Amino acid sequence: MKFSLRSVSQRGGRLATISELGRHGDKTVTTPMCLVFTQAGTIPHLTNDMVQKLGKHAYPVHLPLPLLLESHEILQKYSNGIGDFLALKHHLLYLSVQDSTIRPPEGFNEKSFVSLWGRSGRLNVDVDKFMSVQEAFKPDWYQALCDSDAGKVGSRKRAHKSVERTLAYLDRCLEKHKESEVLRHSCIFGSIEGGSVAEERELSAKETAKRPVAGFVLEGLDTNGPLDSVLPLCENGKKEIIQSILVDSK
Amino acid sequence: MSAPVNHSALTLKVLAECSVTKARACQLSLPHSVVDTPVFMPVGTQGSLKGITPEQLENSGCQIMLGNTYHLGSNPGAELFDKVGGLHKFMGWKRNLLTDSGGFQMVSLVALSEVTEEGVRFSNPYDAKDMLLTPEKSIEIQNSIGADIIMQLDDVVSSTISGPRVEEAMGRSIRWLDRCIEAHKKTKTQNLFAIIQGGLDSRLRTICLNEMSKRNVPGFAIGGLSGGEDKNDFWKMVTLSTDFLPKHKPRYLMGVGFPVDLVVCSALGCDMFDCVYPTRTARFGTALIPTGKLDLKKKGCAEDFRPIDENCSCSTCRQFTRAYLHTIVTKETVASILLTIHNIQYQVFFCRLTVIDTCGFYLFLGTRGGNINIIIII
Repeated sequence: MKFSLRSVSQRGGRLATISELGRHGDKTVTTPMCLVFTQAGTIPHLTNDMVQKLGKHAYPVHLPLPLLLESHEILQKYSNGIGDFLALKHHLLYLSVQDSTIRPPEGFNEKSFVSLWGRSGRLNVDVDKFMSVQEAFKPDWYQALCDSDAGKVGSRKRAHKSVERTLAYLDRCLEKHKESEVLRHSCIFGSIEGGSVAEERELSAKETAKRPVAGFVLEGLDTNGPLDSVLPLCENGKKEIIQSILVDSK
Repeated sequence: MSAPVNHSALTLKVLAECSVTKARACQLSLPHSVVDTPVFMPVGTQGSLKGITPEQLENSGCQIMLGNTYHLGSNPGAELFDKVGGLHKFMGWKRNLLTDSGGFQMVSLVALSEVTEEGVRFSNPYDAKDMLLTPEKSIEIQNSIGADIIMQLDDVVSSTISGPRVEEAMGRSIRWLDRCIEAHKKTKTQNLFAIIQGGLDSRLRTICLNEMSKRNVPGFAIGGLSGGEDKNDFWKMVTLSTDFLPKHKPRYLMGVGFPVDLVVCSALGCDMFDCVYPTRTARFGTALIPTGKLDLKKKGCAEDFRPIDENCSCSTCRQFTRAYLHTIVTKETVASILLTIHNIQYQVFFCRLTVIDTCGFYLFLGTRGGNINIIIII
């Protein structure tokens, strides 16, 4: 994947193009870009033919993992990847760890696994399972396993844990990603954690930027993470940022 | 008796007739387009098939669909249809429409209705307002809606009822037919069909057939059936009606039905059918296939990577596997839409495949009817 800045405004706003999108040949996308939300692999209430009426080009699609996780074994047997399974293979597919429209309950992530909530309840996902899912699903872009539970606002201890764990998961995901033939066309994104604690955010951004990730996901912004301090820390001009905002479902 | 009606709004051309059964293949020309019969008409009660756009419906091969006068008359109402120029324009549907008169709601909403010689009084559970639906009012609303085929207001009783009420309803339906014919203002663009009643009583049916066929209407419907009665009684009433009705006018069997009923009733000489079954069952996760039904909720579909029907060319079967649909049926609205599209296309083409112009009706039974073995003793 290649991220090319076309212009940057005085205040930091930027226009860019992303090319070399793996299996999509010479297609490009321009940023800022909005991903189309899906639920269990469908755009809510719209069949593919109806969505095509909204625009001529292939749109990038956001696939939250929780409601798709139960299809892991099916996808392994299917072997053609999630894009084919959902009849979305002509679209750029981004697989995120959580559903950004739902705030998961706090306190259910542990050192070795993250909790996701599917239709039948809580599912514990460690790095091995997570990467097995990526190999079965074969997304274009995916967010590395991350612990986005930064605890209560202002809690330094939990925020620090979320940063530490996320970096540990990221390193292991990167190892497996590198060894995987199946994922050679997929790009892995690292997540900036740290909740509302500026120092933790700074630490997360600096450390994540040292890893060979294709881009960054800003996690947990509903807990008032300080955006201004995070952006400059990511490698300027070379990587794009996906903004992940948790919407309070109440 | 009323003066002869100008039938320029409808022509029926019989293309072929089965040499063994009473089945026939026809071309029915209506104001908006030609319809190939036997034809299955899906039901879009409130002016739309739930979840489907007119374009998706057109792509599924549907040539004519139904709307309901009671529902459309309540909401949005005849006045709005007059302003807009009719339901075709309102919903963006270029092909044909048929409106039922409100008669069936006497049965489906029986707890909310009261029938007198004047008409049917419905109480609306949503806004507590009453609606008096007379033959004249029904035709007036249907004239505003502007469907290509409109139905007389008939006095409908459940097919499981017997006794004097059945005869009363039959007699009243004849009188209401005359009132409808009198009230109908748009004979050049809308075809008013009579509806044969008489319950499961051959004597009453015959009286009704005798009387109604004297009226010069462009087509006839067989009503008051498909309400849970014994099939052995049902077939008899259907065949009695088609024996009597003129061959050069279309025969519409109301409320039918399941695929096997479409085969049998085509063999008994019916041309047009409607039913909520394929669309309703789709919303509950069941797809129609040549061997019967496929319940996509069942675990057996979880790892089935075939489409619903490998021989189906609908957009659902071209894109999706049973395994995928299993993950979303009854959980995501898109599943309802995808199954509805399949079921409509399946049922419409299934019905059309009874056409006997080239293959012959018994060849049809062998290739598409699957394992149906039906012996009908009339």
